[in-house]
Amino acid sequence: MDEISRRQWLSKMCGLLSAIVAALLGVPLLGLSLGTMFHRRKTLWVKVGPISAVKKGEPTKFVYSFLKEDAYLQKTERGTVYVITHDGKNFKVFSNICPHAGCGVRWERQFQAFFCPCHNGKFDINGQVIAGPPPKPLNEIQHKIEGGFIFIKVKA
Amino acid sequence: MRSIVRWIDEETGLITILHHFMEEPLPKGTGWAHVFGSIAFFLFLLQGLTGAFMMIYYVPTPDHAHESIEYIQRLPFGRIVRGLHHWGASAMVVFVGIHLVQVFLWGAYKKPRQIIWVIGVFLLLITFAFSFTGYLLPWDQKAYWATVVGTNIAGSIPLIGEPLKHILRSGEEVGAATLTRFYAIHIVLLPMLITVGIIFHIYQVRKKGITPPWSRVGEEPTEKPLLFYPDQVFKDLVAALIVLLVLLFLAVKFGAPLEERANPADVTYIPRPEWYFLPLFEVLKHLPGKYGEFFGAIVIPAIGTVLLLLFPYIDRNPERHPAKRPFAVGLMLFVFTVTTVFGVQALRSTPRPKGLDEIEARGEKLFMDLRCSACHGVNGGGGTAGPDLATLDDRNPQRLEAILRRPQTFNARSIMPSYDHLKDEDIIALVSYMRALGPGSRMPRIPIVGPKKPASHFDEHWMLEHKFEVRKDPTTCGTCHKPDFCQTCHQNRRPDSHLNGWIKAHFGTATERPEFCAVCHTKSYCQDCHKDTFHTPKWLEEHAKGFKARPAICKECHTQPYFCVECHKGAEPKSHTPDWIHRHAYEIRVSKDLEQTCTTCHERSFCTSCHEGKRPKSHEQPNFVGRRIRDGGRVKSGHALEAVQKGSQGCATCHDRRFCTNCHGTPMPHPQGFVNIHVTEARKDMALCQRCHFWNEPDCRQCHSQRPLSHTQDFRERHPQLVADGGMSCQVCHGRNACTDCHKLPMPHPQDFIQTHGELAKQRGIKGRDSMKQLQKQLCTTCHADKYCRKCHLPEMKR
Repeated sequence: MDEISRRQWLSKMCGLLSAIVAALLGVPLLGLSLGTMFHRRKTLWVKVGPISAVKKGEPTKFVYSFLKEDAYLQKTERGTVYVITHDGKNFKVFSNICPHAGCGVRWERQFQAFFCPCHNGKFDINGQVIAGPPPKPLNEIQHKIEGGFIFIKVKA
Repeated sequence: MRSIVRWIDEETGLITILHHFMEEPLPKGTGWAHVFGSIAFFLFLLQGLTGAFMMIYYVPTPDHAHESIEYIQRLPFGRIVRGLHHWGASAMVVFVGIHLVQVFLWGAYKKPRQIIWVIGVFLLLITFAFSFTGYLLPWDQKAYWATVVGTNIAGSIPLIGEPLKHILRSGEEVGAATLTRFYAIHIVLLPMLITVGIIFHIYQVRKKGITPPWSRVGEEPTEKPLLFYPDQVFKDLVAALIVLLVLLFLAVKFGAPLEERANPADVTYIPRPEWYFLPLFEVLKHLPGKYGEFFGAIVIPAIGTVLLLLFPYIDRNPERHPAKRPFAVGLMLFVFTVTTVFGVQALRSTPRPKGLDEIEARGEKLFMDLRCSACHGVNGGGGTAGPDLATLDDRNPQRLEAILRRPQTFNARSIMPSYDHLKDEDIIALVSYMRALGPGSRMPRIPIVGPKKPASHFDEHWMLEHKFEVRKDPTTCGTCHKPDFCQTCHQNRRPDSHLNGWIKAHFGTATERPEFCAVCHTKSYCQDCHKDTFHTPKWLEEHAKGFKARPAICKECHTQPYFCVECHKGAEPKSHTPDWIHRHAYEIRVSKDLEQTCTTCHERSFCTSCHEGKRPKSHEQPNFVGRRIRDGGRVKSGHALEAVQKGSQGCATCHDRRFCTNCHGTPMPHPQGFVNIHVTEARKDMALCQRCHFWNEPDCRQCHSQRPLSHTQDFRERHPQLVADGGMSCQVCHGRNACTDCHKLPMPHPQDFIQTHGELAKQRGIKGRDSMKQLQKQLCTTCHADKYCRKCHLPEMKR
C-alpha cells in the first residue's frame, strides 16, 4: 500500500516536472517562431521632393525610394505619391494605392480625377471616391515640410 | 477521458506498448548515477527542437547566414533559443562523456552488453560531428577559421587527404558550397544517423537490461524491484530540469557568441577550437614535422577510438566493482589526467585579451564613440581604411599623441581628422588604449545605431568604391547619412580630382553638377573666390587691387614663378609706355616686324597668358565663323577672309597650326594636290565640303560639267540604288533641287514626310474617296510598288 501511494505520488510529480520542462522550453520556442508578429516596425521620414515642384491646383506625382528592412535583408523600396496644394502653403500627400484592390491610381488631367485602371475607380482631387468600387477615399500620408522639401512618414 | 484512451489503445495498441516500455523493471541499486544517459537523450531532443526553430529564419549562404543569425538574435527569445542551442551543444558533449565514464566505472560494458558500448562510442563520434558541422553555420570569424583548420587537418592524411579535404569543402576553398554541405549534414544526415543509433542503443539496453551494480559477470541477480516509470523517470526529470535551468541561465546571462562576419582576408585572426578539442589542439603543437599533424590529429584519435570500441572485448575481467579492477580504472584516470593537463595547457597558451585598466577602458569607449573604428581595425575587425591599431610598430606615446592631434604632419594626404580639440585626458586615454592593444586584443563590439549598413559597405574595397557610388546618386547616401557626414574624412583633404590643374577645369563640373560641390562646399564658397577675381575685360587694369587683397588666389592658377615678372620686369623698351597695353595690338598689326621684335623678350606663350579665352576685335564681327557670300559665286566666311588677308601666320599668333583642321575636319588650308584626293575626302562626308563650297562655284564647274562615267544608258532606272548619299553627289551638277524637280515631291523624302504626305495630297487638290489612288498614280508608283501604301492604309480603305 505504501509502495503504491509512493508510486502514485511519483507519477504525479513526473507529470508536474514534464509540464515545467515543456513550459520552460515551449515559451522561448513559440516566442521565437511567432516573434515576427510582435516585431515593431520603425517609422522613417523620407524626402519626396521640393515644394517648388508642386503645381498649384494639380496633383504632382513624386516617386520616392528608401531602404527598407525585410527580415535580415535591406532592399530599396520605391513608392509613388501625389502631392496637392491649392494655395502653395497647405499640402496634402496621397498614396497612389487604390484602397479597393491595391492597384496604382493615376491622375487623368482631362477628367480632373484620379483613375484606377483595374476596376475603373475614380477619385476627385481631394481623394474622395466619385465612381467605381473603392470603399474609402485615397489614403492620405502623414507629411512634414522642412527646408523647402516634403517628407513623408513610411514604415521601414 | 479514459474511454478515449481505451479507444485509442483498442485501435492502435499504442498505450499498451507505452505501458510495456515505461514499466520496465529495474534491478536494485539503479538510481541517480543512471540519469546521465537520459540527460544526454534529453539534450539531443533539446538540440533538435531549438535547431528546428532556428531553421525557421536561418539561411545557409555566405551572403546572408551571418545576417540571418543576427536577425534571430534581434527577435524576441531569439537570443535565448540560440543560447540554449550553443550551451546545449557543449552540455551534450559533457553529458555523453559523463555517461561514458559512468558506464565505464560501473563496468556496464561487460558481457553481455558489449554492443551497447560500441553503439555508444559511435553516438559520441556523431556528437562530435554535430559540433564540427554546426560550428560553420553562423559564418562568423570563429566558424570560418575553425572549419578551415578542421578541413586542413583532414587534408593532412597521406594519399587520401587532399581528395578528402576537397570533398569536405566541396571545392578548393571554404565557401558557399561548404556551408550548404555542412548545413545538410548537420540538419539531415547526422540527425538521421543519431536517431537510428539512439533507437538501437535503447533497444539493446531494454533487451539486455540495466546492469545490476557491482555484480560479477554471469552472476547477475534476477530480482528487479524497481520500475522505470515512475521510479527512474522521476529522477531523470529532476536532473533534466536542473540541466535545463542551468542552460537557461547561461543562455540568458551570456547568450551565444557571434563574432564579426567571416573575413577570409583577415590573417590576424587566431583560430582556437572549441574547448573539447583543446587537448588535441595542444598535442598538435608538440608534434612538428611533415606527418606531425596527421599523427596528432588523425592517428592518435583514431587509435583512441579503436581502443574505446574494442575495450569491452579486451577487458575480460569478470569483476564490476572499481576496487577490483585497478588496471582499467587506473587507465581511465590516466587518460582523464593527460587530457585535462593538455586541455589546461592549451587554454593557458591561448592569448587572452588583457584586462583594460580604467584609463584604457575610457580610451576604448572614446575609440568607439569617436567612430575611430570606422577606419581603424583591431586584429582584423573594424574598418580597413586606416592602419590596424593592434599591429602598430611604433607605439611611442609622443608620436601617437602627435598623430592624433595633427595627422597631416605625418602624411600630408591623410584623411584622418585632427583630434586636437579633445581634452588632454581624452588624448591620454586614447594613447594608453592604443598602447594596450596587442595580438590578443579583440575589436570592441560595434553597437548598431540607426539603420543597418547595406551589404555594399562590407565590400573589401568600399573605401575606394564609395566615390563612384556617391556619384551615381548623392541623394541615396542622404537616406542614412547627414549632409556633413562626408566632412568627417574629407574636411582635411581635397578629393583626387582637385589635385592638378583643378582650378582651370572646375568651372564645367561646378555648372553641370553643383550638388557634387555642395557635398563639401557651402554656397558662398564660389563667391568667396570669384568676387575679386573675375577676369573681366577690365581685369588687367584692376588686377593689382585683386592681387593685393588675396595674393594666394592668383597663385592657384598662375603657378609659374616668373609669371608676374614676365610683364613687370624692370628693363622695358621705351615703347612700353603706360598706355602700351592699349596700343600694342595696333602696333603689332601695323609692323609685321614688331611681332618678331616681341619674341626677343617674350615667349610665344606670353600672349596667351592674357589672350587665353579673350578674342581679338575682328573675331567679334557677325558671322565671323558663319557663312558669307562674296561676289563672283565664291563663298567665304569672315574668318576665312581674314585668314586669306593676313596669311595663316596671322592666325598662328594665337592658334595652333592644327586649329583649322580640328574644326574643318579635313586638312586646312587645303594642301597642294588636294584636288586629286578631294573625291575620296568628299565621299567620306559631302556635307563637310558644303560648309564652305557651293556646287555651282566656277572652280567646281570646270571639271564637273562633263557627264560622269556612272551615268550609263540605263542610269535612269538604276539611279535610286546609286543615290546612296542622299543625293549629295547629284547636287554637284544638278543643283540642290534636281531630284525634287523631277519627282515633283520633296526628294529624298524628309524625315517627317510620313506625317505630312496626306497634307501634300490635299495641297495638290486631290480630295475625296479615291484620293490616295490618284496620288499613287501621279507620284508614288514611280518608285513604290502598288501595294506599298497598303502597309499602313489597308484598314482605312476597308472602312
